[in-house]
Amino acid sequence: MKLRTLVWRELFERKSQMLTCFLAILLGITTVVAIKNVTHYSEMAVAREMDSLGANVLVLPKSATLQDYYSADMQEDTIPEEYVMRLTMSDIQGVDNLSPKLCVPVDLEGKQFALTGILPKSEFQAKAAWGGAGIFSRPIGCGAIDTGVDSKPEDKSTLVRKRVIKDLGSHEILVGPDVATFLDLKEGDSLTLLGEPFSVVAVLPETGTIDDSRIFAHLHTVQRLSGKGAVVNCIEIVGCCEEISAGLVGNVNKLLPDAKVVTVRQVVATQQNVNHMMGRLSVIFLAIIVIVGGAGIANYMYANVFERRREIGTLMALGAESGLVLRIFLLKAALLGLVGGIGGFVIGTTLAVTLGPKLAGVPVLPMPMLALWAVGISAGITLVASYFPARRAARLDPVATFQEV
Amino acid sequence: MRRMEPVPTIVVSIALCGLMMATARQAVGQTRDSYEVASRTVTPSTSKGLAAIDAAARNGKYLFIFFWKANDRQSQTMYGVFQSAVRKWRESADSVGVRITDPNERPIVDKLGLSRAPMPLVLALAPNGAVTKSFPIKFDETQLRDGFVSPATAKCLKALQERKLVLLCVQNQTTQFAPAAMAAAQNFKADARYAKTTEIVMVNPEDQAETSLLEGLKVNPQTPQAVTVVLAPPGKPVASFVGAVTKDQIARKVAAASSGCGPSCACHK
Amino acid sequence: MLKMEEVCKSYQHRGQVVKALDGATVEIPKGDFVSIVGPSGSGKSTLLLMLGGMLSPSSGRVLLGDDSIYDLTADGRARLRKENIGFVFQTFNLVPYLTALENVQIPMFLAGMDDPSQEEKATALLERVGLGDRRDHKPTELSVGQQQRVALARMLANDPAVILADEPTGNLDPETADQVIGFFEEFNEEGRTIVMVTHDPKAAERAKNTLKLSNGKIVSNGSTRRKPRHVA
Repeated sequence: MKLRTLVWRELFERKSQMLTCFLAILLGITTVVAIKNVTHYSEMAVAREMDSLGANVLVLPKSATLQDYYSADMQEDTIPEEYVMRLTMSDIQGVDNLSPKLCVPVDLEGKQFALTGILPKSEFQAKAAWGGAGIFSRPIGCGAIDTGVDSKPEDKSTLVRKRVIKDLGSHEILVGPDVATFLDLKEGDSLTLLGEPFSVVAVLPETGTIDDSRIFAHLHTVQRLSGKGAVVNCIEIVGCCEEISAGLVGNVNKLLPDAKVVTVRQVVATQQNVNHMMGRLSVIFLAIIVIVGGAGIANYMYANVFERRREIGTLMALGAESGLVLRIFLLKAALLGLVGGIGGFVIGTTLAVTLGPKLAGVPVLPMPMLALWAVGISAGITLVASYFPARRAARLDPVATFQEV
Repeated sequence: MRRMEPVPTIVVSIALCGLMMATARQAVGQTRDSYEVASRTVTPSTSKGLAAIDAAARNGKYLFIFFWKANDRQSQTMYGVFQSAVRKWRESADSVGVRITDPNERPIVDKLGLSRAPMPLVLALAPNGAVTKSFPIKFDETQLRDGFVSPATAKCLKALQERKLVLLCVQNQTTQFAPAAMAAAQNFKADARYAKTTEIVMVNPEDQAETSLLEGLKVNPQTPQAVTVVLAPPGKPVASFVGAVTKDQIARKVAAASSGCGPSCACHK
Repeated sequence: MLKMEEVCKSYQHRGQVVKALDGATVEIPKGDFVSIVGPSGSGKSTLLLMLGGMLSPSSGRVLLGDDSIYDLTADGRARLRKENIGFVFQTFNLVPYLTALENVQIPMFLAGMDDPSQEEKATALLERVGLGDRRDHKPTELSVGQQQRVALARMLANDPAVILADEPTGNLDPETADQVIGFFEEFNEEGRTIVMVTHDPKAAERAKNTLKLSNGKIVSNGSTRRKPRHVA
C-alpha cells in the first residue's frame, strides 16, 4: 500500500464523473495546443516569406485585390507593359530586377494551369543603361551584378528563387513540378499550347506555392496567343533591401499614378492579422479552460470529498494526519492534470499536423516544447482548483462523518 | 523587183539599232531600278530613323530621335518642346521624328526594342551610337540637354549597353603607377575569359570635359595616382583601384560582384 | 491506562444546548475489557470517541497513560491513535475500492512500514481471522461477517494497546456476533485494553466490566461479574 496506489485505485471508482471532468480539461488543452502549433508555423512561414520577399514590391492594376503574393497576377485586370520601361528608364533606385507577368489560364487534359508570360531580363537590361551619366553615381541596387561574363549557361530553375530569368526564347517554356508530373514532362520535351509548339527548357523545383502549377513562357508570345495586346497583370519589383523598397513605393506611385503599388509587408499583413487573431483566440480559449475547466474540477473535487467523507474519517481514525489527506487529494489532482496535459498535447499536435496544412497552407511539425507548457497549465489548473476541496478534506471532522448512519 | 536603195537602208538600220539599244537599256535600267526599289523595302536603309543614325555618326554629331505613336496632345506638346530645343543645337546635333507604328520604321523599333516603350519618347544618341539618355513621356529643354555627354562617358555607355565590362583607366603621363595600371587592364582584357566582354576606356584626369564623369565616379580629378574603375552593365561601379593594381585583383572583384547580392545591400546572406 | 476526569461535552443544536456528557469520570486500567451500555442518546459513542482522541471535551481531561490527549494537536492525536489505538466500527468502514488485503495494510502504510512487510503481516492477520483465501476480494464481495473480520484484522495492524469498538456486532447475525466477541476475548487475553460500546446484552456480558450511561451521566461502573458500584 502506497499513497499513489490509494489515489490510483480511487480514480477508477467513480469513472463517469471523473471522465467528464477530465474530458473538459483534455479538450481545452487540445484546442490550445493545436492553435498554438499551427500559428507558430504560420508565423514562421510569414517570416520566411518576408525574409525572402520582404523587399519586393508589386505594381498592380488599381482595381486589383490581393489575397496572396504568389497569385498576384491571377486576376482579370491589366496594366500596360510600357510601365516596365517607364520604371527601367526612371532614376528610381532599386528597380533593377523587374518581373512583369501576364497570366492566362490554359486547359490541358482536363486540368487548368496558369500559363504565365514573363519577360527575360535581357530584353530590358540594355535600357537600364540609358540613364545617362547619372547612372554611375546612383546607389547600387540589388541583385547580382551582371558583369557581362557568363561563365556557364543560366540555370533556369533559379527562376523561382530569384523571380527573374535572363533569357527565354519565344517558344521555350519552364514548367512547375505539378505540371510536369501531371503531363509527364521533362526537360527537352515539347508541348502544344494554344495551338503552338513549345519546348520545355526546365522543370522547376517545388516551392509549395501556386507557382508549382504554372507554365512560364515569353511574355510577348503569351500576349500574342491570348490576343490581349501589350499588357501585363502585375509587375514584381524584386528587391533585397527593405530600406530601399520602403522608399521605392512612394517614387513608383508618383511615376505610375494609375497603378497600385503594394509592398509584400502589406500582402502578408492579412496573414499576419490572421495569425494575431489566432494568437488572441488561443488566449481566450486558455482563459475559458482555466475558468470553466477549473470550476469543473473544483466542483468534482468538492463532490468527491463529500462522497468520501466517511472514508476520510476512517483514515483519520486510523491515524492519518491532515497533511496526508491533503496529499491524497492533491496527488489525484496532479495525476489528472498530468494525463490531461499529455493527452491534450498528443491529440492537439496530431490535429495540428494533419489539419494545419489544409487550413493554414503551411507544413506543420510537432513542437515538443508545447508538451511542457500543456502539462504545466493542465496540472496548474487541476491543482489550484483542487486546493480548497483538498483543504476541506484535511480539516474534516471524522466524528461528524461517523454520526451519519 | 526593184533594187533597195543603200543609203536609206543603212540609215534605217542604224536608227533601228539605236532604238533597240535604247529600249534594251531602258529595260535593264528599269529592272535595276525596280531591284533597287525592291531592295529598299527590305534593307534597313529605307528606315528614316536608321538613316539618321548613320548620318549623324558619319558627321560626328549627336542625334535626338522623337518617337511617337498616336497624335495625341501629349505627343504634340512634347514635339513642340523637342523642336524648339534641337533647333538651338543644329551645330552639334541632328534630329528626326519616328512614328513607331510605321512599318518602314520597324527596323529601328526592333533594334532599340521600343515596341513596348512609353510614348512619346526622345532618345539622345552619341556619335558612337550609344544611347546617352532617354526621355519618356514628359521632358523640358533643360533635361534634353543632359543628352550631351563627355566623350569618355559616351564610350563607357556604348560598351555597357553592349553588356560589356568597362575598365576606365584614369591616368596621364604625370599620374603615378600609370603603366602598372594600364598593364593590369590590358592583361585582364587579354584573358580569353574576358576578352570579348571587356572594354578599356582611357580618361585624362586633367581633361576638363571629363570632370563631371570623374566626380560622378568619385574619382578625384586632381588625383596624383592612376585610378582604375571597373564598371559593370548597366552602369554600376564594381571596384575602384587607386595606384598600382594587378589583373588578379580586378578579376577577384569581378568574380565577387557577380555572385553576391550587391555591395551596398544590407542583405548579405 | 485510560482516564477521564470530569469530562463534559455540550452541543449547540437549533439554538438549544444539548449535554452529551456531564461530568464523566472514568478510570480504565490496562488489560481491562469494558463494555459501555445505555439507551440511545445516552452519550456512549461520545464517550468512546473522546477516549479515542476524536472528540474534544468542552471541559475536563482525557488521559492515555499520563498524557492528556487533548493537549495535543489534531495531528498529534492522529499519531497517538496510529500508535496506540485500534478502532472497530458498527458500519465496518472499509475502503470500498481496496481489497481486503489492502484495507488491512492501511494502518501499516500510515505507520510507514515498507511494502513487503505490509503484505506479509496483512496476510497473517487475515489468516488469523480466517480470511486467508479472501485477500483479493473487495468489501462488496464479502458478507457482513467477513467485512467485520477484515475490520478486525485492520484494527490489529499496528498492534494497538487499546481497542475501541463502537457497536461491533450491531449489524451481525448472532453466530457471527459470537465469533467477533470471541476474537475480542482473544485480543484481551493478549493484554490489550478493550472498550466496547454495545446494545447487545450478550456481548456486554462477556466483558469484564460494564459502564452504564444515562443522559450523559455515568450511572454505574462495575464488574459484570460483580455487583455494580456506585460512582459519584
